Amino acid sequence: MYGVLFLKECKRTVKSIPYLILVVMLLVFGYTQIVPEFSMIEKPEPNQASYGVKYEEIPGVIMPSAAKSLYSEFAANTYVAYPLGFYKNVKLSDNKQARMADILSELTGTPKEDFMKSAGVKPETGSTLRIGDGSLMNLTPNGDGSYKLTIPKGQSSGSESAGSAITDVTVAKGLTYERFRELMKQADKLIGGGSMYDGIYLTRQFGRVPMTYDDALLQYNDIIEKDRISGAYARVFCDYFGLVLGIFPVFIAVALGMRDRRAGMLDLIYTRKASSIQIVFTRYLAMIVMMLLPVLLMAVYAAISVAGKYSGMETDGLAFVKYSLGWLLPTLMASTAVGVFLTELTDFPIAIAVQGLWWFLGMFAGMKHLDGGYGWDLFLRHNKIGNTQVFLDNFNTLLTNRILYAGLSIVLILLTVWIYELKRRGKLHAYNRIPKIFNHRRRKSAA
Amino acid sequence: MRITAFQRYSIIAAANLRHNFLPHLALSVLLLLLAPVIFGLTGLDARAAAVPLEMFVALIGIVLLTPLFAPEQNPEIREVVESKSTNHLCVCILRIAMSLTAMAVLVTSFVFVMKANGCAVDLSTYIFGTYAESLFLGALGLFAYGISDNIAVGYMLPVMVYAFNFASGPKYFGKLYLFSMAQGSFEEKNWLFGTGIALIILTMFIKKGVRDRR
Amino acid sequence: MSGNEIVIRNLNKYYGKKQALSDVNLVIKHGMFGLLGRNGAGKTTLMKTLATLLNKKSGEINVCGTPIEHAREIRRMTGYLPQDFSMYPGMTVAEAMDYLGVLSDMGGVERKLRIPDLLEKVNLTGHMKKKVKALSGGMKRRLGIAQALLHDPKVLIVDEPTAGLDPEERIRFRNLLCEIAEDRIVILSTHIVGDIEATCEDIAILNEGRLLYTGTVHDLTASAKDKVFSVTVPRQNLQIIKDRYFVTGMLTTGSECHVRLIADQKPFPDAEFCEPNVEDAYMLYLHRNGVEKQKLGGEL
Repeated sequence: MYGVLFLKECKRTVKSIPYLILVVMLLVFGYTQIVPEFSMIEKPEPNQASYGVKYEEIPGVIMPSAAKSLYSEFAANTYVAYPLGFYKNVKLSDNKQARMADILSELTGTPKEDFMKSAGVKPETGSTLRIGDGSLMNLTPNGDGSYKLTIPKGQSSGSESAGSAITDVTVAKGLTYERFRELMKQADKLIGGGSMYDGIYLTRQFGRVPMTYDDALLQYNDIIEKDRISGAYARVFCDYFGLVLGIFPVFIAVALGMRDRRAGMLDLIYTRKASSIQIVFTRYLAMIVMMLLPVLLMAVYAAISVAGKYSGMETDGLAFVKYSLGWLLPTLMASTAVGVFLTELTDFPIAIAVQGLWWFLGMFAGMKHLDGGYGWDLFLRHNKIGNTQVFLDNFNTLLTNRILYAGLSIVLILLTVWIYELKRRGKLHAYNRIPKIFNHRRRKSAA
Repeated sequence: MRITAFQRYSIIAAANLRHNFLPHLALSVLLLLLAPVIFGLTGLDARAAAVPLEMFVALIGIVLLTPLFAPEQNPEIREVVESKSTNHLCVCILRIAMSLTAMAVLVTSFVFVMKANGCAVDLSTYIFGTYAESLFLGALGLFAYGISDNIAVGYMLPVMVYAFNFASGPKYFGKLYLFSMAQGSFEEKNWLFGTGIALIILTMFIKKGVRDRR
Repeated sequence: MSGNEIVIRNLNKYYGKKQALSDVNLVIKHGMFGLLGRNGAGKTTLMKTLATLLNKKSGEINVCGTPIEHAREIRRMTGYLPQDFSMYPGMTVAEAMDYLGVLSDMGGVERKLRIPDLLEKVNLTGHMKKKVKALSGGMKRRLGIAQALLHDPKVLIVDEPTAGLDPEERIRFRNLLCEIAEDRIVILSTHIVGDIEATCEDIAILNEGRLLYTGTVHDLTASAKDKVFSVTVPRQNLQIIKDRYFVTGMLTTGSECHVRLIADQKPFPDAEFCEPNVEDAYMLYLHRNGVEKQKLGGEL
């Protein structure tokens, strides 16, 4: 009984146009954009000119440049922040500026009054200077699906433009790194969050150091041993498909959710024996399974393609499938559940707007940790082949996140069951419920 | 006893505003009110100011223009309305005009607010640029809805185009690249505007064709 | 060509390759006109074509002197009630009427006069402020007839008007239609023979897109004279009778069965002649024109 219903629901899903569009999109996207972008991972050789950069929490590097940056922002009273991933230009009140001067004073060991003076002479051009090159909020497409979000180095021209008494900002002697972090946290709070002094940003912003050969080799070995190559690509695979699965399943859920009403089928289904939980869950499951299919198909294709690329080396044949299920499935479940729930609740395609907004915000929020780090995002970014250690370091976050979203989806579906049951019993009239006893009778007479 | 066409369409417009258009208009206004929460809108330079406009404000086009055929989604309603002497296509065109007007008002107000907040926006260019993109996305939705008769597909297509622009940059979309103002290029907006208008006209012709072949 | 009738000549209509109407020739005069036929016979297609919702493939239609091609003129003088009437669910009854009145080009004064009048006629005055989505099936249908009459059309087209109504409402609705038909053409389609019997004088029978019969109800009934019998048989013989004859009615009491059937000659010595009704005549007509018995069986 369950099986038959499930198969019928699968068929119903397959027959909807949005589903077909999604499948074509996933396959074309995977085939032309993702897998061909899997560049070969080269083993680093000694004495290369550069091994790229890394971000490390080295107090000696971070503290002075952060202090300089904060000072120049203070002097111009224009603080750059990305509270939701978008560029924001924050101006503080006199009161808050005074408190910022306190922080700077402790940070540098210079008396507060000196800072207040320099704030007094702040030139209005400070803000335009800082963003004059246009790169500040510029999202530069890298052409590979990722975006580069460039933030200028804080220690640049700011201090000159301030034209202040303070010409050289140095960190106070004896300031511990812990205290420094605390001060930065206070500064971030004053700015309103999301500033360069925020915990996540601090290292990314000021702790940039060149990688050594040993670092590069370590990364390479991680990819070979811990990821068995495939894992490194699978994360990028998930990065891209997550973007798609964070929004497009909602269209299928909405289309199918509105179909019964459109077809005038509601009462025919309401009066069947199947329980609400059975109907709602089977439909949900069918949608999830059918939408997962093309993803898995691409996963197999990617696995074959990677194995072919590295013939002679050991790859993990199941990595793509494992990642798809663990990493992508919760995203798919959540965006579908939002669609199912809101459509049943409102009988209106509002879920598209809600999910669209969530996706939009998520896309920019994800830019804070484009190459790993995860957080609470609906779709997790990892736009870098490899970066194995970051993945492993954040594995628990990732796991918690995924379990949370899977759980949230189930809760939404249970709520849907509840609403469905209420409607079925006629206790909730969301839209156009008219007693259709008459219709039922007519169908009989026409038979 | 008959009323003039102007009277008739005014009454139809008012009824449409009240019964069909209002929720979409409200949603668009809500989105625009959300913008300052998401973005910083003060003291932006020319390119930075293009970002909230191109990436966010223009989305109201999808909200306002896509669902215009929805009231007659139910074939029984469509039949009743089509059996009246007022041509239903004219009612659709009236709705399009209402949506386009609402879009213009909203976009213009938004750009003016940005200007007042010290953003380096060139009023006419930025208003037209945002409007053109908005029109293009909405027209795409209207077109998709018109040919598929499925509102989910209607919303899906413009979102797809938006997402693809976002992910792949100007390389695939060329003259129809959505986020060109942030890179200091404005020519694309003319193309978006033209394509948008063409799509709307095409949609109406398809609707008429489908109607005539019934 | 008179200005008070609908003339249809050689009408053809296709859905893709399927021919929905073939060579229909019909003159519809003032009063009630019934279109009878099985589901899928082409009734709705014919009515929608008359309401300018569908385009014909070939042939001529002339409504009260105006060719059907002049859609706007035609729409001015026709009112249409589709099989499943529906209206924007968020509008109230009064709003829906007013909106549709505007779509029909009616002036403000005219609307203000006619709307309350019509709602009164269909017994919806007390529900003017109710939203369409809150109406019951019967109320919705009455709203449907009111909106179709709103602009005082010369021709009223109603598709299966009584389907889905309860018996009381059905009778009321039929009476209303008869009243309306006093000063205009009313075309109604149905597959329920009783509706026709009670209301129409002129009818047409459609089958698979072809016109099988046009004429009066009286003539149709007369054509079945001496062909209808009633007989009482043991229950176990029922199947044999069903296989051999047209059974148009039966009533089982205990081990016996009273059967009403159609046959060319007296089938059993103890069979009695019956006065034919429209239903008998209709079935006979379909049968004579090659519709198989099994297919008809499902109709009753």
